[in-house]
Amino acid sequence: MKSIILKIVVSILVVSIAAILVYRLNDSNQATSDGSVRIVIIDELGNTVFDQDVVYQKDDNFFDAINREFNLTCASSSYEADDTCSYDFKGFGYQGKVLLGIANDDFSVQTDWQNSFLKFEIYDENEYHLTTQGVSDLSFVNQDKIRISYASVLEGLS
Amino acid sequence: MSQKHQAIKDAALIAILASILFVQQLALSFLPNVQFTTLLIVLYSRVIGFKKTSLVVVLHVLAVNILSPFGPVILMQIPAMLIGWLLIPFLLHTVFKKAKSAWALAIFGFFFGFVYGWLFIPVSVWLLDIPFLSYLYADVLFEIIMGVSNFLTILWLYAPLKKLLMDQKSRYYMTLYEPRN
Repeated sequence: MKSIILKIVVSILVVSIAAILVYRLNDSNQATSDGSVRIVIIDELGNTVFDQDVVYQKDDNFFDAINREFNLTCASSSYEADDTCSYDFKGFGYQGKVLLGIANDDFSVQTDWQNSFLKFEIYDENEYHLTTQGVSDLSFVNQDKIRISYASVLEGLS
Repeated sequence: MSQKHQAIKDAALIAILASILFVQQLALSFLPNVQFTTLLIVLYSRVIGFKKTSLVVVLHVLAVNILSPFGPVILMQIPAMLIGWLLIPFLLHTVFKKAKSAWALAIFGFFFGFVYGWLFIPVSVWLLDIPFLSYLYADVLFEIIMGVSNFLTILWLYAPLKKLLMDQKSRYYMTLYEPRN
């Protein structure tokens, strides 16, 4: 009986500590002030179709910032293209939007998730590195340079 | 029991245990890093021994990567996955040979959650050029979840499942004979 009680107490403690840690580490990456980021967009052929500063406002996440500037296509719950970008993924490992396409009056880069996707990279220490978060949770600060490229699933991320 | 008969029984047992491992991982794929895989490999290591558990792990890794829609996207991650799961039987038959209680194994499982995550770092950092600290920071949440999931499942389920599997093994081999490791 003592052993069971000890197990219950330790289990509750472990889950509680883990929940607090997860909550503290799982930050939302919203902008703390107004600013701008350099956005570079590469199309299917490898051409740079956009290379300009995009302004963001306090409390924007990266999706909010680019949503104001571009026409975005997101994934629905079944990964179909959704121009309204109304669906938010809620799973622990994949919260927020999944971006399938980005366009404005001059260009359009669209992917289908099955064969192609949009790759996000951040410029750091003289080269681009893959980001570790998606479009809703991507961490950014003023004057950051972020590249969004068309990528083929078969060719992979590298 | 003849050696041939014994080998056939061993092969069937390995296949069954590998399929249990695969199915539970697939069934829980929608919850990142919440699974019974560590519990089952720890259990197999203690009940059927190092060699058979290693074969179960090899089959499991092959199945996950060939059949599962949730297998690694990057082929280079397969060795990390294989080494990670093989570490359990290896460590439990070497460094942690004396760890037999559910508490000791649960603590082992907790730390293994972190070690398993770290094994994927070299591939991500060197081949994909993701900065080390960014990767470590992004992954630590998943390592905590795996560690806690391992701890709780082993703490609560190891003892009853071990008893069950030992009974089934004895019946399966129709003797109290301990199969060779």
